[in-house]
Amino acid sequence: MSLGDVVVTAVVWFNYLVLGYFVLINAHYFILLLVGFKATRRALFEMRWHDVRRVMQSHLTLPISVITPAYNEEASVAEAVRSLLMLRYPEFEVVVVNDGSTDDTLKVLIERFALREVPRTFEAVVPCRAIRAVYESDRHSNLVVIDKDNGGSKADAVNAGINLALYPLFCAIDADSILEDDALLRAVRPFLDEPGVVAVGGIIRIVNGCEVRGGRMANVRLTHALLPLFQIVEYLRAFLFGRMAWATINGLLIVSGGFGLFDKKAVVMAGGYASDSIGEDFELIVRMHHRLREARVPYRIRFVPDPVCWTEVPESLRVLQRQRNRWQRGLIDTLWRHRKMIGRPRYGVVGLLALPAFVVFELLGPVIEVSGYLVIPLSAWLGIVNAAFMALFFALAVLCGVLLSVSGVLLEDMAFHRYPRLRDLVLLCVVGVIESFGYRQLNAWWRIRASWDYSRGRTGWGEMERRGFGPT
Amino acid sequence: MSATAASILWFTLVLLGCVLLVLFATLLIQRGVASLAAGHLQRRTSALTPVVLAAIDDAAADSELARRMRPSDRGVLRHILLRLALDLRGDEREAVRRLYRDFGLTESEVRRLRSRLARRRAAAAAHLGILRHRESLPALIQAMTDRDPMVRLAPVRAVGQVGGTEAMATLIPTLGDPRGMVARRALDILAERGTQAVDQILTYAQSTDNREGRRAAIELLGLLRNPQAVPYLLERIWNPRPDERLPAVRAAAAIGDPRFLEPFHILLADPQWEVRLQAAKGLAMLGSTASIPLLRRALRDRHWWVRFRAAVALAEISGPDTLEEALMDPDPRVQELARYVLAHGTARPVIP
Repeated sequence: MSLGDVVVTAVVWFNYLVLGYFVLINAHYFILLLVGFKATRRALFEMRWHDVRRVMQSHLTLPISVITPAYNEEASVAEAVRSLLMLRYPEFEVVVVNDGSTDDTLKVLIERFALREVPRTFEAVVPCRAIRAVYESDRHSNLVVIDKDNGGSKADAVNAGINLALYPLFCAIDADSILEDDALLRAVRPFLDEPGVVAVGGIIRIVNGCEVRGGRMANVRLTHALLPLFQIVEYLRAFLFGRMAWATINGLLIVSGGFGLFDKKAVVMAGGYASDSIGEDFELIVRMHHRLREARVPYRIRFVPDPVCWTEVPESLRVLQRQRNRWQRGLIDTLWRHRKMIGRPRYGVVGLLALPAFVVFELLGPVIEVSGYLVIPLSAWLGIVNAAFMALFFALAVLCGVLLSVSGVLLEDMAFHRYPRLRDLVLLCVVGVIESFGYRQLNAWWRIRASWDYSRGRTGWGEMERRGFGPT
Repeated sequence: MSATAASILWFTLVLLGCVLLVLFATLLIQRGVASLAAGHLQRRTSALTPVVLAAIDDAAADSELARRMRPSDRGVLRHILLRLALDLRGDEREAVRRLYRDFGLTESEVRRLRSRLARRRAAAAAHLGILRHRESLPALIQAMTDRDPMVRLAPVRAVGQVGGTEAMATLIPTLGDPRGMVARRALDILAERGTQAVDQILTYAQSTDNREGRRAAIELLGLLRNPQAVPYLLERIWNPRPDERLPAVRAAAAIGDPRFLEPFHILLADPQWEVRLQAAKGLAMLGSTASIPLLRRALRDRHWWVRFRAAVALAEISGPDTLEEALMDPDPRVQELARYVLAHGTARPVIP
């Protein structure tokens, strides 16, 4: 057998691999789509009959500690905290963790909220860097500010907040995100409804282009910038299909760091956030599955699509690439840390389905996808597949992607109707088509680069540049 | 690659293309239909509301309403009447109920309680609740055993809206519903309006085998501050199971009967912090100076909430003096809580 024959045989087999993978990944997405569709319909029904006023008035509604880490946020922190203090919930406290900011974040908080330092004893139930001081407000009895040494990660700051949080549930939220007024009232629903709920994720929506006034969402509009538009479609797919579907079978692996509600006892049992993890939100949920399954404690991790948290997404390729790089390194890091769960029946649906799916589709997916972009044209050039077949295959791949994106937009409109203008929906559908020409491939390439960076031991976060929520 | 593979690809491509077109069409149709329906509802509501209001004022105007109604207006009439039922009281609400019944909508709602679609069953129960139709109570009670938990929520609320001793008593078994949301809704309604049914609640707590139901009933006895429950609670607060003991102690702390004084003193040393917290809360309510030494000891408890409730109890029993003394205590935890309560008062934070 000559070298040429070996190459041709290898290329032929690789083509079969790509074809098989293509069928598998799309089957996977379409199953998630169907399950997510059904689950969203059910969630809508539950939202219709869930009376938030009752939760507000109930004697037994569980109080919540809202923990928000802040690092060098002097420009926006006061507005963010004021917005959190205005949340509708019967009993909650806001715990702001100043993670060793080098700017005037703490000074701004002290001045705006009339803070004074108080002695506070606490039991360190999860590890965190040294706490320098604790402040309370003279104006708001439910505001606590923790000043601590910089821990180099959001995880360390949230852990400090957990140590000082008073209430049995805590909500971790980014200081630069906006929670809707009744988000806590809606997010708490699974905790009140079912025993054993340890975490609840809510939907993250993209604020770019929207009008924000006084820390509140005033007008939902689509941005005209292409990159955030791509991300809106991506987020709709990820939240309405992926998370809804996985939560249905208790296999949800991510509760977004931007907004999640947790049972403090369960998080403490799992050891809190891992400060040395790159994707701390993903890692925490996988670790909770890991520990709770090992302890044979019945538990549930839920996703509810109506409590909304608005966040800003990158508008430049450079920042987006950094974000995606970090996400992919976080994914690899978490899968590596919990590799013993993969394929083990002891870990139930997480070990047998969710984690293997993440390995095959999220970890290996970009590698196979990018290799396919190279090898299939090579096959056409070698005469192994004809050009018409190649074109057909590419068209099919694009169409599958478009179909998923349009389904996401349709589901959004049926269920939540957040974009009232028809032209916004049409624009999102168009974006769902054009993302297949360049954006998708770029994402796959960034993720391969991230795998390479991880293998080289790169652990940094990279900085997210934000424009803020000023008038747009 | 063979021609067969290519034809399979073609077929799939065409199929997915068709699905995509259907999705686009659905999106547009959905928007169009929603907009048309909203427009129709608005137009017909404007047209019919004055006639409905006239019929509410004078039953003789019913025939005019019947004459003005089109076959497709039943939904519009339902919409108008339900909105009015939320706003009107007394005779006017009675007139709304009469119109609802006379135009066959009550019967239709009772029928819809047996619909195959869960959302229809839930909506029917909610509508009957808004109208406070006492005659539909048997159907609503039946609906409280619906297989779908979200449907059960609606009749529970509706029965609460109908009100009265009989209706309240029917809610009591729902305290043991396997879905927390349903049980909590029943509990909240009974806590607000269940004083007439307090004997039945006590009987249910004493007799039920449903653990969740018993716990909820005990909580309720506390929320209703029913002194008749004291002997029963004196027995339950010693239950060896912490999850059974806690609601009983919580209820006892809410009632605040002097017979709980000695038990609370003992329960301040309970291994479960929530029980210790409730005992401190109960002692604050009883206000006995005999509790001061024990509460001072509880200021050193390892749990923040117990220390806080002990500090609150001391402030309420003996005024700020004891706490000002505690500011000099060598233990920083005691100082912290004394300062906290002196600075913030005793009203918050709270934990159930």
